[in-house]
Formats: sequence, C-alpha cells, structure tokens
Amino acid sequence: MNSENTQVSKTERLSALVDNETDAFETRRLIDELIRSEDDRAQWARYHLIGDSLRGGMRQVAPANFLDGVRQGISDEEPFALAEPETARSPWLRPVAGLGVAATVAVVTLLGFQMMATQGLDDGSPVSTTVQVAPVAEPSTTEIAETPDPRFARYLENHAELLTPGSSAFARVRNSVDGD
Amino acid sequence: MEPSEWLERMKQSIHHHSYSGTFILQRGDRIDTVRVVHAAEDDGYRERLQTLTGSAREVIRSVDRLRTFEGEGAETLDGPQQGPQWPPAIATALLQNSAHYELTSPGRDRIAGLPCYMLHAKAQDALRYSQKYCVHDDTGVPLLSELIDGDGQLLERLVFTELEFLDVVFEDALEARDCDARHIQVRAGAEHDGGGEMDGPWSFEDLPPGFSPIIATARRFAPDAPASLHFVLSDGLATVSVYVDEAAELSQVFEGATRSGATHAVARPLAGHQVTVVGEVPQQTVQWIADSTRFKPPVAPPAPGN
Repeated sequence: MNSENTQVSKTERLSALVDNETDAFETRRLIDELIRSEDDRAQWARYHLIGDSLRGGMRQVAPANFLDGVRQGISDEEPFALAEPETARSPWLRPVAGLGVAATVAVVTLLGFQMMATQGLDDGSPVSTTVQVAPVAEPSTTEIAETPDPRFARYLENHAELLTPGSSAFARVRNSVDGD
Repeated sequence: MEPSEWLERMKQSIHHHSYSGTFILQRGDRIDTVRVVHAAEDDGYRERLQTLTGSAREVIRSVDRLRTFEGEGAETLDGPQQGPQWPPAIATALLQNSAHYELTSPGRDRIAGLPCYMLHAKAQDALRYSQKYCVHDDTGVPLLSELIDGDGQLLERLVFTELEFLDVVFEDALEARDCDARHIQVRAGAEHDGGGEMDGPWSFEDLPPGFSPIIATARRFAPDAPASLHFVLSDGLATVSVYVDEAAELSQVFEGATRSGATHAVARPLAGHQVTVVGEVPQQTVQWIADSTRFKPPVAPPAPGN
C-alpha cells in the first residue's frame, strides 16, 4: 500500500518536473533521483515525449543521444581566449560566451537530426537507419544488412499480421507506418 | 490482481474493445504519431491507422477469424492473408513458472488521462527482450508498450496520448480518407490446416531455452505459388515465425539477415528449401532457431514383395 502511494507520488512529482512546476529544492532532489534510477529516467522521458506530442512538436524531439553530441561539441571547443581587450567587446557578451558556443553546438546537432529526418521522409524510407543495435552479445555468423533486405519483406509483413499478444502491437503498426 | 493476471487480462482484451485515439510510436531516433480507429467485431476487428507526422500514410486493416473478405484494393492476390489465431491458453501455460521473464509491477500510473497498472516482464537472459506495459484499469488495453534490450536501452515504445473508448464505431470512421490508402485483409487460418503439422518432415531440435512451437499452418503468398509452411514459436511473450518454402531452383534460395526496429530476420537454405525466421527477438535468437530447424525426409514405403 505504502509503495503504491509512494509511486503515485513519484509520478506526480516527475510530471511536475517536466511541466516546470517544481521549486528549486524539489528540482534538485528529483534530478538526484533521476540520476540514481533508470526507471525514473524512463518515466521522465515518457512524460517529455507525451508533452511534446500534445504541443505538436514531435519532429523537434531530440534523439536519445542528443546530449552526447552536445558534450562532444563542448569538449571539442577551443579554449577560451582572454587576449582581446575588454573595451572592444560588449560586456554583455562575455558571461554567456561559453554557453553561446554550447548552444550553437546544440542547434547544429538538432538541425543535423532534422536534416536526417527530412532526407528520410523524401523517399519514404525510415528516418534513420542507424538505430543503435543492442549489444546483447549477438555472436551471429550472419552479417545483418544495414538496410532492410526486400527479399524479407513478405515474411516481415506476414509475421506482423499474427494475431498474437505482446509485441505484435508494434509489428502491425510498424508495418503501417513504414510503408513499403 | 497479481502481475500475471494483469498480463493475461491484457492479452484477452487487446482486440475486444472499440476505441479511437492517437499514439506515438518511437523506435530509436524515429518518432511517429498515429491516429487509430479500432472497431472490435464478433469475429475479429477493423481499424484505420493514419500517420499524423511525416509522410502521410493510411492503412485500413480488416481481421476476420472466420469469414473470407472480398473487396477492392485488397493487397493480396489470393484472397486475404491468413494469420494464425493465438490460442491464449498456450501463452498462459508458457509463462507459468517461467524462468525466462520476471513479472513485477512498479505500481500505477496515468497515461492519456486514464489510470493504468504498470507491468514489467524483465527478460532473464539475452535471448529475448524485456517488455513494459501500462494496462488500463477498466478495459485491460495497454496504454503503453515498450521493448527494452539487455542493456536497458529502449528499442520501441508505443504510448497513447489520447484515447476514447467507443460503444459504437460508425462506418465512415473506418473508411479511407486517402485514395492511396493501403487495404490489408487478414483471415485467421485454422491451425494445422494442411501441411503444417508438427509431425511432418519439419521439426525443431535444441531450440533456445523457453521457446516452443505452438502453431503450424500452410499458406500461399501468391495464387500460383506453392504453399509455404508457417510455424509459430513462442516463449509466452515473444513470438517468432519460421517460414519454409520449397525451392524449385537454387537461385530461389538466399542466405542473409536483416532487421526492422526490434524485429530480426534470418534466412538460410536447407534441404532444397528456404527457411526464413522472423521475430521480435535479438539476432542471436532468430539465428539459433534457424539453426535448430531440421528436415527429415519421409520414409519411402517398402517396395512390393519385400
């Protein structure tokens, strides 16, 4: 009973975090919990996904590894130069210079993602064929094709129509969304 | 109710409610928003799926367990496709005391404004994916479905953002809005309906732990094509199809592997046949099942006089 109440409370708190409705202390506490709990992170990501959908911003959702790109961009950034005389620059620019570069990296990374999406949509093919392959120790002797092999198409389609529970929900919808 | 009872309830309810709604399908970096109208009928269901993001696509799907559909725009040349009907009792039996999934519930949640029960089937080895659901309290319909790999990475997610259950679905709600809509008609084939018997020349040896063959059917992909054998294997949650096609010429067989989202497929020639394995399981599992497939030629009857 207690754990259930705690869970409801946690989901509500995470939802509030997504909606920017938590105060500074609660935000820090929830972020600490997010760092510790994989389940909480998944929940938090779901709330963001749903929120983005409701706001009509689905195509602007960053990929899961978006932050990795930002971190890489920051690490590649040139060291900040202090040689320039202060009088030559607006004092307003200085404090945000580092953040500005990071933000640019972020925008470029996001635009890059969107360009991939556009290319994918033009020819009706999946947005990205570089989905991370799960490293779940797959010592197969057969190499997996990078792009869908059309010779498998009728089997994939037929399998998707199985009237089975579980993942068939994905299969029937996946085929519908993917097209041919 | 225990998690296993919620899972059973979800399986029973998947196609037994009528609803309209919007859901998000997320796979890797790709995200699609889809509008669905789903009409449960006595012997099956009909539904209309329409993408709201990206390229406009629309699919009208009819699934009938008993009757043969006729209609314009049907994709299949040889009448409707046949899909075997899942016997729920088998799924339950496979999952009972299963050492391959740990069923737990982290509690309750609310999705699309509806209360639901979180259900986690955690895979206990790398041969299958973990699955998460949030099952609607009142109907048992999954409002959230997730497939997760062995490293905890999300492979696929389907989550409703808006859902309304309907007592009546009007016919025009199921009609195609787009003249390019795909029409898919599925008729459930009877089990063991000619040629797919498990006691025939085809069998499986040393399957991946937990997987068993549960359905055997024969089907045709084209009017003049020879019948393919279709075996369905399951561990209670994941399903894998094994198709066996007789090859008249060597050029008709191929060997390779592919993937689409969390679905892996592998093909190999065997005894003059093409064996193709497809399922929402890791690559090593479809490969293992392909390697487990055996052909034993029928024994010729003794010659007269012997």
